[in-house]
Amino acid sequence: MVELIDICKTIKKRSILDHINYQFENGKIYGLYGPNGSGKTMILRVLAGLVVPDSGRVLIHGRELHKEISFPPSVGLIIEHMELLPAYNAEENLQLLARISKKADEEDIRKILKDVGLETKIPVKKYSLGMKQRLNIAQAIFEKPELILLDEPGNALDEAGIKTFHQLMNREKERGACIIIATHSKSDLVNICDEVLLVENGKLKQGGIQTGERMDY
Amino acid sequence: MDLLAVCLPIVFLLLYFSGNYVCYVEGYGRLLMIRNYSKGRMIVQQCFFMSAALLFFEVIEVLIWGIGDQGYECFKIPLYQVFITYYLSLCAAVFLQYLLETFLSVQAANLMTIVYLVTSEFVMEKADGSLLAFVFFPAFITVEHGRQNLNSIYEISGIWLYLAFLSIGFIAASVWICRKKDIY
Repeated sequence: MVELIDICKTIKKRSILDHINYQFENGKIYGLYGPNGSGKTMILRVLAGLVVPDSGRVLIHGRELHKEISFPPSVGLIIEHMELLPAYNAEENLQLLARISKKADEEDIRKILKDVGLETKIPVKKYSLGMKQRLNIAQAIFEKPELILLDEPGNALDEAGIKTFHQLMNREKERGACIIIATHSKSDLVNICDEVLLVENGKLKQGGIQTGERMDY
Repeated sequence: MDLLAVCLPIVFLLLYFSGNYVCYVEGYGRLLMIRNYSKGRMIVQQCFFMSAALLFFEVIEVLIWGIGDQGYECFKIPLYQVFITYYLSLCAAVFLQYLLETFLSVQAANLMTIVYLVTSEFVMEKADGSLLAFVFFPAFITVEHGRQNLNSIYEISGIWLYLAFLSIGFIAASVWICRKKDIY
């Protein structure tokens, strides 16, 4: 379980996150939805341990981030300006990452690359944007993390890619991962999210497309 | 000219090690960082590999120095004292640059460290043997030319301790800043 307790973050006198409180449970997919600059990505960064909140606490399975641990012990992340090594192919990139925490073996790497349709040997620098995004998704989930944080994962994906992404997320959900997706895509929100959270002016509100609440931005 | 010969390899070494902090907090580095679980451990690991690389470069330098006209005869103090002091001073200078990169740009950190290095050499030229050497510690890099008035083994071991603790201090400060800083 992941908990945000009274999280506040101000940057250059502008309140980015304003007393955020929420509990994210395992085995569910949460969608963060809101206009540009509302704080969706900042919430993901706080959960990933990349940003230190000005006040409040982040608890990852009861352990406090930035006090007991620097980062969640098992996290998969897609965030903006992420790059994999351009000179290597997809398999080599995942092999290098797998060496750090040693949670995935060659079989896991081959399987995930097959799932995302990236069994090619060409180097990443020759990939299209859609292929890079597929690889980003692969690196986020191939080690079977308990917490998956995805910022606009559907960017640059074609229809088949989106469908594959939804299948993968449902599979990860069934495995028991807690998945949090920041997205503008109503397709993501409607098709896979169990709960949708509105992020507006740094505040978090619960609301669901399924409940009929209007969320047009 | 003498100063140039001494400082030039160090400037290149500082350039070689510049950007090491930034490469972990931007782009691909963030994927490595979150898998390392601990910012402190990641920084200490990096510093350990940097000091191992510095040792390797020093061995190369020592070998090259040995085949020059004067060889090792130009040193006025025992060789092992020269090499250990040189190595510890280099480590301290590189870790200082690393610390500066945690809150300045890579270029600014590199430039400031080089300016500090050269300034230290000029200051200690005039104030050879004074306690100012502990403020302008990069001057210890040139101890092999006898610029520092070091005759006692207790003096030299005190300097080693000072440089070692300085290096540890820079690493600890880097860890502290990294833990407080946001990574975007």
